[in-house]
Amino acid sequence: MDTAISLSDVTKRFTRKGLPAVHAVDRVSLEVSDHEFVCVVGPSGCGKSTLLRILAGLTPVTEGRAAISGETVVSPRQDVGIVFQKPVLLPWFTVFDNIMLPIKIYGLSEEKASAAARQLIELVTLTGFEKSYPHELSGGMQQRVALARALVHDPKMLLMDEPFGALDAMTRQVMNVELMRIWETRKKTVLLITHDIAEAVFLADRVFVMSARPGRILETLQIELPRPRRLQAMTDPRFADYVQHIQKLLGLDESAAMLGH
Amino acid sequence: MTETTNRPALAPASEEAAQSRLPQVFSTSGLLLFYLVLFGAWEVIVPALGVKAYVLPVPTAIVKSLYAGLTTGTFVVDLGITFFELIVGYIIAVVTGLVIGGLIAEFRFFERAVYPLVVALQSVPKIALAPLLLIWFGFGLQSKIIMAALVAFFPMLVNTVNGLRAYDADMYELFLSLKASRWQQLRYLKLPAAVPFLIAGLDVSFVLALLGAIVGEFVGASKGLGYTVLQLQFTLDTAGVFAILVILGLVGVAGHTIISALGKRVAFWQAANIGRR
Repeated sequence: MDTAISLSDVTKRFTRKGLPAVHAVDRVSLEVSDHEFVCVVGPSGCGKSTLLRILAGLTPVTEGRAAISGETVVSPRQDVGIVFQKPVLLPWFTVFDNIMLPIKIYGLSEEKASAAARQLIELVTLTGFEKSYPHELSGGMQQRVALARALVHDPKMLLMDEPFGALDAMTRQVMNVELMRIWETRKKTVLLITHDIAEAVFLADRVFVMSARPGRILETLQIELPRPRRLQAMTDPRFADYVQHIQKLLGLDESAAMLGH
Repeated sequence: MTETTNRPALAPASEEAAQSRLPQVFSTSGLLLFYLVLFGAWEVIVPALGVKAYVLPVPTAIVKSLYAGLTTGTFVVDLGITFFELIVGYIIAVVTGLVIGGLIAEFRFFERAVYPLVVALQSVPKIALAPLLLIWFGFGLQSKIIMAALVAFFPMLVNTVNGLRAYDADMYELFLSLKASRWQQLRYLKLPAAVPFLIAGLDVSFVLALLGAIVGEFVGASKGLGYTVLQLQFTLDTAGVFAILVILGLVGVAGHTIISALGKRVAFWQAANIGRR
């Protein structure tokens, strides 16, 4: 298998005038293979979103190297789709036009892409909402549109930054199962950032556990739960073991763990 | 998916109550009655108190004067002239406001070189420029058009600059991640996000353009509503002055109504969001 994403000794420090430098990420190395689904999990402010922004080409590394398909990332790449924390849909565009935005901006054939867009609308179960506007949709539906938009130009990989973090717990679970189903039909390489340990274990082939700032990789866990995964996977005894193991790594005691899930 | 329930359960009910209470108090017939009483009282009380007609004419006198002016056509000609000055001045103000505002918002050079100059010029009371414009551009329509444009220009400019910077930072990030060109950013993000501001600018500028045209006519003109108002004042025809004020008010209201209706259609997403909150 080829290396889709690779970070080697990536360090990121934010410096602002008159303020002490913020050491966000400290010598992080990781590799993701093609078609692999990995999650980066860590406490708030551990620099995991910074990692994603580096891979997205939105912020440069201070030291080290970030590469996608063997090429050093210097600017945003067209073979990457991004799902942000917020849906960031254009309120003046319909669902369909929002999904087509990358096609318009990349200057790709809209005729060809509109078929793909319709398939994606079906895949994210938004059939019938093509002509709706974002303000007419619920938060979960908006994030489905954002997911379809990230996939519309058929990128090789997907970067997801706490995509369901703003949704309520029940919707988040529905979205996790949906994401699994969608990933099984479109085997993209996925790197998903989350602070939700159970979400990371449920979704990922491998989980990278990050420490609090400065963010370091504490451990990489291979998740051996069978696929396709549905909600029942959460009742697997190994599931609980993984979650507990990560909680211990992050120094969460029993009572704090109760808050997680 | 139903996660729209995080709103307090009482909120919709109280909103509905507020909405249903309004039309009960301010129904059309209620409003009509209110104004009938108001103008009726004016008609009766003002002469009874011994107020002279040239100080405050009664409503019927104003209506009579308005009717006479409109049917004989004198007001119509004046209105046509003032309206022409207003519209041409307004269009000049809107176009230059959009172009210069766009340049200031998009190019650092213009922001640093032009914006301070424009702000400095703005702090000069432009009405005071009217005599100067008269010297430069003469007694014809030109000086009034320029006055209208000058007064209406600044709000259009400021709203354009602010509007083009009102886009959402996260959406901007999305555009960066898609490597959108500056033109694409402008077309798909900044310009649509600016629409509510542009509508506000169009609205304010319209009323100011009317003001500018009238002031221009005050200073030196031989026709137009502003000129006629002065003539009527000289002859103490106060009812006529009021009649012209009514016309000016109607022009302003008509402009505002058209522009806000346009705004609701163009910036439909905003109206929808406000309705939700």
